[in-house]
Amino acid sequence: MLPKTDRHHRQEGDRPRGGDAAEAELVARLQALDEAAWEEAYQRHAGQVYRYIYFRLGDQHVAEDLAADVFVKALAGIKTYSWRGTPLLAWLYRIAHNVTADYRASAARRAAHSAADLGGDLPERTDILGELDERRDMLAAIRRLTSDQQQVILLRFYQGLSNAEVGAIIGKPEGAVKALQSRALKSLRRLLTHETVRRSA
Amino acid sequence: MTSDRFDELLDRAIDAGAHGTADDALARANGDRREVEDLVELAQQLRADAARHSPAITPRLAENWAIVRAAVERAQLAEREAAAPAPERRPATPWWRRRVALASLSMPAGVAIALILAGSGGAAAATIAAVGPERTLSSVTEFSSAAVHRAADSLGSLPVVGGGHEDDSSAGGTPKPPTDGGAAATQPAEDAPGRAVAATVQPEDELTLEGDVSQAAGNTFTLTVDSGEQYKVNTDASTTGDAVSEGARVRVRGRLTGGRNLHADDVRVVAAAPVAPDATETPRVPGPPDRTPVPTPTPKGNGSDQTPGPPADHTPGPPADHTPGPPADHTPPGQAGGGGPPDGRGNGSGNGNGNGGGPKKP
Repeated sequence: MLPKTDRHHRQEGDRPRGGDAAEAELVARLQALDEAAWEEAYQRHAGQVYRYIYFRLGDQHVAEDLAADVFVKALAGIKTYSWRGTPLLAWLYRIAHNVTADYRASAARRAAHSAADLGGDLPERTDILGELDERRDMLAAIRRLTSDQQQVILLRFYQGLSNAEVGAIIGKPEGAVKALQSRALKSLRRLLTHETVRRSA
Repeated sequence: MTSDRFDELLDRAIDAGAHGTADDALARANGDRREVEDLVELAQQLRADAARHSPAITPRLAENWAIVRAAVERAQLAEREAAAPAPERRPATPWWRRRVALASLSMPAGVAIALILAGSGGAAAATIAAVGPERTLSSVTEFSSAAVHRAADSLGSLPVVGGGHEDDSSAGGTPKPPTDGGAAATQPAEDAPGRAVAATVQPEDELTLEGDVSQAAGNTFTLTVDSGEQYKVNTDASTTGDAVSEGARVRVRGRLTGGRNLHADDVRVVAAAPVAPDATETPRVPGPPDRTPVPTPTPKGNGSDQTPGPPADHTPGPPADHTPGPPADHTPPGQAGGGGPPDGRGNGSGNGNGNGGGPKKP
């Protein structure tokens, strides 16, 4: 079903040359509601969308469901999508970003209700769970970045996209992506340092 | 170092560090080398973290393709339905629409009935307006009277058993010609005593008047009927009949053109003007108008006429009703209607339409 090869570490320039025609053809078939084309797109991009969502949310099961939701939303908007050389995956990432943001907003509302019920127990439990895995510190620090900085960090280092590709996804020029990358790394270093000091204390 | 230059230098160092050749990029950093080195190291940690903890593709993710496939099928179905022409569905006719349809069917019938009623009413109104109520009434009255008279005459003309008209029957119904000698005996009923006035109204405003001519001048003369009424009679080229002379008794058939003006279609002299001046001065007593129809030349027997006629004379003769009656004919009204004196000439019944009335207006 899905490709076995993990392509999330694809580096800049790994994208096959001459694939624009195939991408355009795939988009045309997707717009014609060709089921085989949608299956092909799902096999090709579902893993990357799933990982992106997972890194942003940190929940595997939610990421699985939201990945499928991204494709359903793409199906709803495929008629208005026009392919202009930008990879289809960039469009899927944008959808995934919005889906994730919506989920986090709704999760925040649910958490507010839960916190009201549980009183002051929640922060304590969160700290305990955070100590179980150091990696959660990295993801937690990333999730404290701004939305654009999160996207740049995740797309650049977790998804292996180039600055140009990231710029196409977030809709900013390449220079802005470099600036966002620089500020995101500085903020992330500060957060991680602060977290290390807090733990040591 | 400007911010843009730092961002550019950092980006190059990160890319070079990914390939293990970040030294050249760090060498260009100069004063910011330390900071750039830290950020490049952090970037490499992020890449390493992603590689280490990248979530595996789960079977559940593959199974979620069914969700996407169902969505694709729904979209295909919706697109087909949108592209296909909408099937014509006849909506159930609500009760009020059925009533409207029924009303629409009855509407032409109602209009037709209304037109018929309006046409009938209009025709009646037009008839009344054109003829006038009085005229219509008199026409109806005259027509009815004439019909009664004709029926009475027909009854009177029937042969009477033992009467003097056996010849008629023996002649096979051949009209019995009146003879001079038997003229009085064979006179029809209308010439019976008390039936002196011979004014007959035809069904279509046509009058037949009988009276004396006076003031004859040119194509006009005055006709004085026995009731004393005078009519101005006009003749023209279309008038047929006899020439009239002063004092003659004539029978005029014509139409009233207004008031007492009569346009004569036919003028027949019943009796020539008397030679002796005394005859013209015979006093005439106005009697009631006689509505007896114009007698036909058919000789008729009179039920009351018991005088046998000439036995073998079957030759048609002049109509008996053209024979002037005796002065006794001018019986005053009221007496004539009830039947004249039993002189054996009047039938006394059928012609008893003197009906006691006064002069009949035409």
